[in-house]
Amino acid sequence: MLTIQDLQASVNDTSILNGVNLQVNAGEVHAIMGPNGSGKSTLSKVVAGHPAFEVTGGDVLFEGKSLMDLDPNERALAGIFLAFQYPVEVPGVSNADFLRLAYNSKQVHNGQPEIDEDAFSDILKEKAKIVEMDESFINRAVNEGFSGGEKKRNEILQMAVLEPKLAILDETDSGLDIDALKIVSAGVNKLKSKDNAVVVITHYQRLLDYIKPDFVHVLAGGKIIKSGGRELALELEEKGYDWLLGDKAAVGAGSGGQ
Amino acid sequence: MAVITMQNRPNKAHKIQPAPTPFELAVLSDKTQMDAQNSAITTIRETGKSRYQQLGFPTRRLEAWKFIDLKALQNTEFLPYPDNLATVNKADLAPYMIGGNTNASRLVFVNGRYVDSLSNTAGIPKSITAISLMLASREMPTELSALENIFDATTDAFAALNAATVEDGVLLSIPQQTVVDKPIQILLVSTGDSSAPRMASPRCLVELGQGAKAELVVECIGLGKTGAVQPTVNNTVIQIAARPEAELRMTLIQEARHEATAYSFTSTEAKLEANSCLEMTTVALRGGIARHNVQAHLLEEGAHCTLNGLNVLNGDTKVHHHTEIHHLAPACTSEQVYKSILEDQSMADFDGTITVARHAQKTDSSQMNRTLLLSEDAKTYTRPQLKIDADDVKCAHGATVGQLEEEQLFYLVSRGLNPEIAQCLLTFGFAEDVINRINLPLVRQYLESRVLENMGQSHNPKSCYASCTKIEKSACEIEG
Ligand SMILES: Nc1ncnc2c1ncn2[C@@H]1O[C@H](COP(=O)(O)OP(=O)(O)O)[C@@H](O)[C@H]1O
Ligand SMILES: [Mg+2]
Repeated sequence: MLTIQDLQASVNDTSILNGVNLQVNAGEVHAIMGPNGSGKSTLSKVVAGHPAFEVTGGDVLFEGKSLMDLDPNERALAGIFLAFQYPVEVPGVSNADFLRLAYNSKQVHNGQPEIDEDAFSDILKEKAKIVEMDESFINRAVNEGFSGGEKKRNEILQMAVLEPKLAILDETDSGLDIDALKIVSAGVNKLKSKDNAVVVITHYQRLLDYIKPDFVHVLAGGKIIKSGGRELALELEEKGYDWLLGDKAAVGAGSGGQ
Repeated sequence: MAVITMQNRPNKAHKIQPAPTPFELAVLSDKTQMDAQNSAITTIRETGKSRYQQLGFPTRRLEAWKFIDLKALQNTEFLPYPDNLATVNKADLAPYMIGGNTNASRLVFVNGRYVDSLSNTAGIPKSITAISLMLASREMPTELSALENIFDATTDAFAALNAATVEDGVLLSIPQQTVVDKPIQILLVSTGDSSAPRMASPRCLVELGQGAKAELVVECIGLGKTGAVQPTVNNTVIQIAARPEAELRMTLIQEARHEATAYSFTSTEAKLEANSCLEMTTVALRGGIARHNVQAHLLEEGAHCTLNGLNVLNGDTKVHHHTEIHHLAPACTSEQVYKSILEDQSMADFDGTITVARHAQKTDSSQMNRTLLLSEDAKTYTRPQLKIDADDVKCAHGATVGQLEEEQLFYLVSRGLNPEIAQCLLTFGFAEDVINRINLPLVRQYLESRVLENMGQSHNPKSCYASCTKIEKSACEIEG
């Protein structure tokens, strides 16, 4: 489904990704772990098409087609969804309006009829139950004044509405208490199927107790330095990253360091 | 912080009276005969005239008038509207029906004078006084004068001019503990004229008794009748007296559709007693040169004042906001959010002063001014001023100017929205953020539609979304 080949990317001429390779197939769950600043969020944003990052080498293929020629909205319409580590507040734009426009964009893209406010409101209420989100959030401005945990739930709500083929969850578990964590992961599991794939970026093994990965990767210095099965996450939990990093620990993020 | 300002103080240089300008000669000459019974209005006029003579015509050396070019106005002889000049009919007012409801409570003034046939007072509770100033001057001169006397001599030259030239207006008095839950609309319409430059000077006095609550929508509208090719001035004064625990929510909308140069001046002064509350939103839309002056006096403990503002401007429209919030008692709170969306060569200027008196401890005040520039030719100025003499206070202020935020845009497009729709949504959201702060859904919806009407096609989410999806649809059809 997703093939990342020797991906290199930089921001303001500082190289951050230095040759990432990753293959994600339909039905799989992948976890990406790694020290702060190692490029995890950058990787997810490059896949989603954030304009601040320049791809300087390699390629990202989605269902066999290069994403490099697609705008961010076209990537979303193709079925890619990124749950942001830091969801943006958008004052004055209501969650319901925003999501209906997004939903209808997808409908139009798929040659389906657009749906009106009432019909969408029913869908939204149904989906809000999956993440146990209070209905009052639906008509509030997007993420404005939401707590950290509420923002993360709102990301999963959006994912539930848009039903992507590939979901990348960037530290969706950070800042969640244990109950919220269970709700969010139950939501993700409910949406999982043999036809779609999930990539979770996380620092914590505990999320992986709920969302069980088939593969675990360690990203450091803008490269995947180790891949393994679920047991790798347990090993990282126990030993940290130092044993993997060796001399690279001194280098930190990106080739330029900081 | 020590801020030296000259604002609103009569300019020393003007102690030696310069020769009156054509503007002053015209507006201050006594052409209108007031009938003898209208003694209360006559007193307002005389007081206004002598006050104007003390203040003089504002020059750009005064901080509060810095960015306003009044040269053309100063050289124009504006005359009062003749008696039965323009006929405004109900159809002309159709765009201004809140909720599309022609039966909603409404007081209509055309060129500064009350027009009963266009108004609708049937829905206003009997206990409320809602009458024209002309009538009030005849029938309740003592009450009218008493209300006028609550307000100190104005520091604003155009407010003084309004008093000097007033012909009519409204006296609205809500008795204590009375709650008016439906909005009362005051439409101040000017038509312009083909034969001479005209000036209208409506004056609105609003009093809320102890614990009274009301919602007002005041609109200064230049109707722009075809053929009315001469410049106009719409010079409005609003005076608000709120007794303890009273609450007034007011939306002031200003828009000029005149063909010729239109000047809109409004001057709002509020006196707020203990635990009373004024929530005011000033909305400036297209057309002309406008100045909105709001001065709120938090007189007694626990008074609160919210002054929000929204400019949605295009063409050559220039709008100035001058606000003063005076914290004169302990534990009062005030909030200001002024936002502008500027297209074409439009210009917005925000000049907001907060003063905190020495004994006004526990003051909590915030002020924010944000501007979205949608064109390279649009301009904005922002001048926050804090003058604080107390030590236990919280005062925050800030300003931002720029384009749409890249992170917000990316967030929206990453969900599949096409970039044009995302931009429309964010632009309207920028305005909606102010509209959302208004209490009554009915007023919010009305404002939304008025604002949408004023937004250029390319920034208008409704038209934009319709056309974007249409484009995508036809692309789909071709593919399929
Ligand atoms: N927009 C940006 N501008 C400059 N540097 C950036 C930007 N985004 C990320 N970086 C830098 O890139 C590196 C990787 O960051 P990030 O991808 O957020 O790491 P992670 O998510 O693994 O913690 C860090 O050194 C960070 O400071
Ligand atoms: Mg990150």
